[in-house]
Amino acid sequence: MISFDSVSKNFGGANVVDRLSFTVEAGEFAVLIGPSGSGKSTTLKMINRLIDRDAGVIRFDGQDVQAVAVEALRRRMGYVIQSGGLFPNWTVERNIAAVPSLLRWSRARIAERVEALLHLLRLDEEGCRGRYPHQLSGGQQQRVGVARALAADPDVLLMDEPFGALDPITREALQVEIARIHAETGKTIVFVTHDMQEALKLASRIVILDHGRLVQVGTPIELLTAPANDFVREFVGQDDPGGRLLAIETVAQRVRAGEVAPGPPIAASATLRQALSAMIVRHEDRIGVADPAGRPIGTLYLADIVRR
Amino acid sequence: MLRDRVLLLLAAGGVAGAAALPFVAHAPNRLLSGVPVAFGAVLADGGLLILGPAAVLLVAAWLPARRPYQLLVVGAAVVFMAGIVWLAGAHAALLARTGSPIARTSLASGFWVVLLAAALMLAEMLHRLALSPAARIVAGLGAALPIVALVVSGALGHLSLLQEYANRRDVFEEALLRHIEIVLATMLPTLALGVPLGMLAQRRAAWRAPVFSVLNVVQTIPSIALFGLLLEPLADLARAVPALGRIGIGGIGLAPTIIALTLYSLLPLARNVTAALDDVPADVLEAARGMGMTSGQILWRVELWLALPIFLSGLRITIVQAIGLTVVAALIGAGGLGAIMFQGLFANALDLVMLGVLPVVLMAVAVDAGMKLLVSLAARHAA
Amino acid sequence: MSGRRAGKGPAWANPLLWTGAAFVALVVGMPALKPLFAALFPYLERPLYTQESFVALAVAHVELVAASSAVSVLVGVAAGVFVTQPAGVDFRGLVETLVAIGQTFPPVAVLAMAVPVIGFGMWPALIALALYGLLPIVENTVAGLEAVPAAVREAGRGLGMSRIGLLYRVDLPLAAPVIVAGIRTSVIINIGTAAIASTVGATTLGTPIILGLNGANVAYVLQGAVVVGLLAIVVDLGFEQFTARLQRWKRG
Repeated sequence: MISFDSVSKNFGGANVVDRLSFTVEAGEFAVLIGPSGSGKSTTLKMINRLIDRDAGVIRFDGQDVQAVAVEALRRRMGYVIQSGGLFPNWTVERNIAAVPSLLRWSRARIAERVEALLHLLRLDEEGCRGRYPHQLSGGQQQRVGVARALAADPDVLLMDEPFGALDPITREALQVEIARIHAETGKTIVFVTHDMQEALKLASRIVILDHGRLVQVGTPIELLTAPANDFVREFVGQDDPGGRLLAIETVAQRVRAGEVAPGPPIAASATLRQALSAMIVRHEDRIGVADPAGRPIGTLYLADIVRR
Repeated sequence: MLRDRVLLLLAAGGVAGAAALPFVAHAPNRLLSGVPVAFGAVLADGGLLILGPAAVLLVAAWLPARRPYQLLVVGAAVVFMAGIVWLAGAHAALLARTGSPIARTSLASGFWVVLLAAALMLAEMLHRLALSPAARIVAGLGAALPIVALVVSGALGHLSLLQEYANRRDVFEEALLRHIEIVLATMLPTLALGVPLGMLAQRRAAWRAPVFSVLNVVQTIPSIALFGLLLEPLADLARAVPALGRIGIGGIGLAPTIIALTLYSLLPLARNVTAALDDVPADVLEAARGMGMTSGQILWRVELWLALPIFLSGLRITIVQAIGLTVVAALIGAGGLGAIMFQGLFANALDLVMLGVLPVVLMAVAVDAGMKLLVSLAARHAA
Repeated sequence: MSGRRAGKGPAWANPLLWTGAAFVALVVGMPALKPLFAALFPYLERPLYTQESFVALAVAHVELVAASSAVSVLVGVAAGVFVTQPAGVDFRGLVETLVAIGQTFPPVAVLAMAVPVIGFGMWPALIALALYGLLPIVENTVAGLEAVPAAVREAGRGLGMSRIGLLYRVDLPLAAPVIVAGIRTSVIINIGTAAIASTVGATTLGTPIILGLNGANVAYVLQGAVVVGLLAIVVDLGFEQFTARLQRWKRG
């Protein structure tokens, strides 16, 4: 869906992005991560041409982004920034309807879409529709920002450290939210963050950048188990590598089907860490596993957690 | 390669003004309007030295943006401005020698346009050099120095503007003094009333809206109307209490002017006092209270200094406004430079108008620059 | 949103309505007040200004201010917008210098200097007012546009709005209160300067005032002063309520 081919960007004599090449497939949740100054925000902004590259080719859906009219390009992408950037003098409703009205959708279609998004982001429960941004909490504002980005049903969602300015509790809630939206809509998401935990939690693939250069691309597990060099190892986190692995893998990946265990079961979508935690509390070495409907599907053994 | 569109625009404007508009105007006597004399003619009579700095200014838009070139342009602008002033004076002297003794040479629109263009180019270059505000003011003064020297030396004595000045020296000096007197006399009650009002509005939330509503109404009323409205009551007062008439509180003149000017000055001053006190960070006040300072001590040792920059800024606006309003007061007989200006207006004598306007503008610029300097000093002290 | 009016209270208690009505009543009914002025100033031969009707004077005054303000707003807002767009950033310093110089000129001076160049009458007044009225408008347009949060602009562009679209839909509406404040200052100053414009031959509400001052007729001065003062107050109130309406979303 998006490909970078030897892309470079120069600011004031220094290469902020240096011959960067990578691809993001359709439906992926790609996270760009790196220390500050690594060029990750710049890279994101080159996708929707808020910054124009100096060298190399960036392709979106097969086309060179330079060849497309810039505003048409941007309307096919959703864009969410850390401070939200909601239009303060427009209601939540009107903010969300921003791109659809630019695209001149019919009023009925816009209303329907706004309704659907308010529901998707759970904003209708809180009666936000007719309010102004300054009347909303930080978390609500960011959710409106995401809704607005999704309004015109873009092919890709670009997010630049969207949860960075929120308190830890709200941040976690929104991380769960965006993961759910990704699962439900199957959209391609390109997400910039400097928080490794967030990346490991959300990404299907992580792109690590340092000083504008690509260091490693891989799934969270690949990065944890096979870091390319010391930089990656340090960046991903030296401490508690085992805990991090546990937090990524789900119970479903290691359950022994068919077997039954006593006690309340745990969801198949739970992480191994949650399963281990439950086993420790119950002083058991096994735990039942259930599917989303609550039907038992098997058992998870402690021994299987540490098995290769 | 064209580097600076602003300089190009200004240079083009200057050239257009020099080509299309008369540089000076020569009139056979005071009543008739002048015969325009073009820039070219003036140059031909000995002004070729000007062409050097002029050439620099014309190519300034193409020069590289490096310090030595920028300083060159600054120098050229200063020399050029002094040059055309000198040129105007010299040409006037030349015409005086060869013409009738009652003929007058006055500065015409072309002169002003070219001077303004050069001055704006100078300002633009000073801006690009990124000097501190203090340095910029010193540079501005430095640029004005050669012109001041020319005026003082008498080299411009044959220009009608200076002839008017020479003819009316006493009247001018009296008007100037009167103007300054009025502004200073206004500042006393303004400060005495404005500062407490501003403090009151800031300390007591309930007073804020009413105080500023009333002051805003006063500010909205046109100055001539306020002067006019005060005439009658003060005249009645003077009639009822003759003693007041003797110390000058009558219908015409000083009293209604100072009262009206004070009323006008209260809003900008009080508003800035309030804003300045608002601006003092709450945690600083809390820390001071925590240290055991009394409110009096907090005011004198803490608030005053932190509030000073914004207060001085308000004082600047107030004084500049007062200088301007005093001009209008001439219509109710208060005297001042406005009297000279209006006299010129009614006699259709531009020189007289300029004689009234230029000192007012120069005073306002001087006060403005001086106060800005004070504000930047105060801000540094408070930091 | 319910139809809430800017300001508290019922429609008929609106101060703008009362002062406006008083102004109209005074202007139209001035001739009826002749006995009042005759009683106040028995020593005056002519207690009421009758050379032009106050209606005519008021209309002329309003026309002069409206025309010059229209020019100031068009040129001023355009200049302010230009200077805050990437195309015009270079000219920012020049515009600020001109505004700074202009602030130190009393409005009367601009009026006086226009005459020798243009002559007497309405035209020098119009040009002087339009020129002087530019300053607060340009200054406020620049300040208002600059105050639009950068994040809002970035988000707008990221969503695919064109620069002009952004200007029209976001920047200008957000900057509107500050810009209107500048227009308000400009118009109020213009109303005052237009009153003095009778010294340059324009016929305005200042004409009876100036005539009265020259001829020691206090009644003339009073009549002109009260009417023009009231006009200024009415216009100011109008702007205040308009500005409050613009900022309704902030309170909500």
